[in-house]
Amino acid sequence: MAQRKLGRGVAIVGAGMSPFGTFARMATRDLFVEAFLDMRGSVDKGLDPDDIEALYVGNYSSDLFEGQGHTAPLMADWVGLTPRPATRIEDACASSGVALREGIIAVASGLYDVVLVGGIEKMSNLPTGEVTDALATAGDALYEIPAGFTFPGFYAAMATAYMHRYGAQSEHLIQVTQKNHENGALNPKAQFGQRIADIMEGKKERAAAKGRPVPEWESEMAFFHDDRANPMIAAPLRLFDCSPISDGAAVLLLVSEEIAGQFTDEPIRVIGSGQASGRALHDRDTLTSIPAAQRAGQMAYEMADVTPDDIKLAEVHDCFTIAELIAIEDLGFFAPGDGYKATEDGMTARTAPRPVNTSGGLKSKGHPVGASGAGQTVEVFKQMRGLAGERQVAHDVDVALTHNVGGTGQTCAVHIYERGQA
Amino acid sequence: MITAADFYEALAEGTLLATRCADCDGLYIPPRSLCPACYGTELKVEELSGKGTVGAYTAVAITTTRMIEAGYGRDNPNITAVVDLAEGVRISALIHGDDITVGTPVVFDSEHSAEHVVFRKDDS
Repeated sequence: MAQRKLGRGVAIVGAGMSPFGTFARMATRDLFVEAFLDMRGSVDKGLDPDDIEALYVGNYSSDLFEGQGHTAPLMADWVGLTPRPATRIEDACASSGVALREGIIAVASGLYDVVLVGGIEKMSNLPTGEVTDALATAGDALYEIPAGFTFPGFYAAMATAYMHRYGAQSEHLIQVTQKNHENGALNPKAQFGQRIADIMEGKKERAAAKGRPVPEWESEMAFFHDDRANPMIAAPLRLFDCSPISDGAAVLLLVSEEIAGQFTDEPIRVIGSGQASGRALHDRDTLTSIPAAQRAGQMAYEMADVTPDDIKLAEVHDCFTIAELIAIEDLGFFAPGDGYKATEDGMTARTAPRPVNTSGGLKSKGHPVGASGAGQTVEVFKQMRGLAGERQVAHDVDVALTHNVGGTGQTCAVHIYERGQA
Repeated sequence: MITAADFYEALAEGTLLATRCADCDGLYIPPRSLCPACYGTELKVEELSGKGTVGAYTAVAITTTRMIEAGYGRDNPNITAVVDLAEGVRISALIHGDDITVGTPVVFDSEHSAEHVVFRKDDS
């Protein structure tokens, strides 16, 4: 069946986010308010919140992280939207990528002209052990978790299959980390917005200040191989292969294309949207790619009528280093097994024709899971409009893509955007 | 209907339970009562050989509370794998013993399987 089109055009005319990080004094609602205000400030011709007709908010598990269920009406209330409809979307780490899709569908249906899409997560209240347990519930609690899988464990297993099949080494994985920290260092909203060299320097300074032996590393790779500085989480993945535990929120303003000119002269049109579901890792034909991501990508490309070569910038779901390598292959940017070589050759760097994760990605920017998908769209919105500050890419980004994965690929949402003129 | 309760009951008795679709011959472990390939509802219970190879694996240092309570953790990472079974299907399993890699032959360890599916290196 041919890929269907949206019933009418949908454009993003505002996008904002809270800083990503760990914020002891802020609850989810506070982060959401911060993201909402940042979004409001991004609407060129201003936004009257009375015009917003509905809210779709992605949230993985405030229930487990904060003891707070039923978050959508709460978020609506805290930004003054009640009694308008508010709906929570849960698809693990793809929650707000899917919320975006639901918001798009709602506007395209003609039911609403103006919709708010958000993503929220506040993970840092819990100790690491409980976060590990909470994230594991995105896998199969009956058949995967009892075998001892954790979330890093799943991706670590995919990494061993990938490395065995294609000959990649752990040094190739860590090149994703190096690149994304280079980018994140230019993002003031990033949780770990530092280059690896600066992180190493910081560790030395802290050791010296505490009167402890100052560690010495011959190179960044020596640092990455140091069990103390970069401990094993789930072999072969170490700490610096993993995105952090984060708090954050992101908010997008969607409108029908017909009225986009009331908000801005530079709307970002959503030209492709794809979403797919997938089985548990042990129930797939492949362990080295994510079928749901391939399918969601194909759906989005077909709807948008573009090819991977048309994409000028992509934000992909690098929850772990291996995940970025698989993502850039699943999306057709590189052939299966070539993702690590392309990364080594700098083909995903910020200066490349099709940079990947200019925001710093989930690795450096942070991964408040339910907010990450909407956060990716915030970066695309900024880069396409030339508003990304120090990390603004040099080339014109007229077409861009976001790729948001839930679990190990039981969910994937892919969106393609084109800069339009109102 | 066959459920996880049946699977783990059989596991504790030393059996690795799957189901096979009478209509399309699809084989499922974990066992299912509805065939996701052809929507058939006549699925017959089948016992698997328990032989396979490691398809993907990890040694989990920062592990779940459940695994910590079972004695695993930073100093004793649990080895967990996706096992490619001889019958052409896969299962997530805890691996007893170390020194495994992708492709290592493994065998179902019925003696130690109860709450978890356990496999060990097949030295035969």
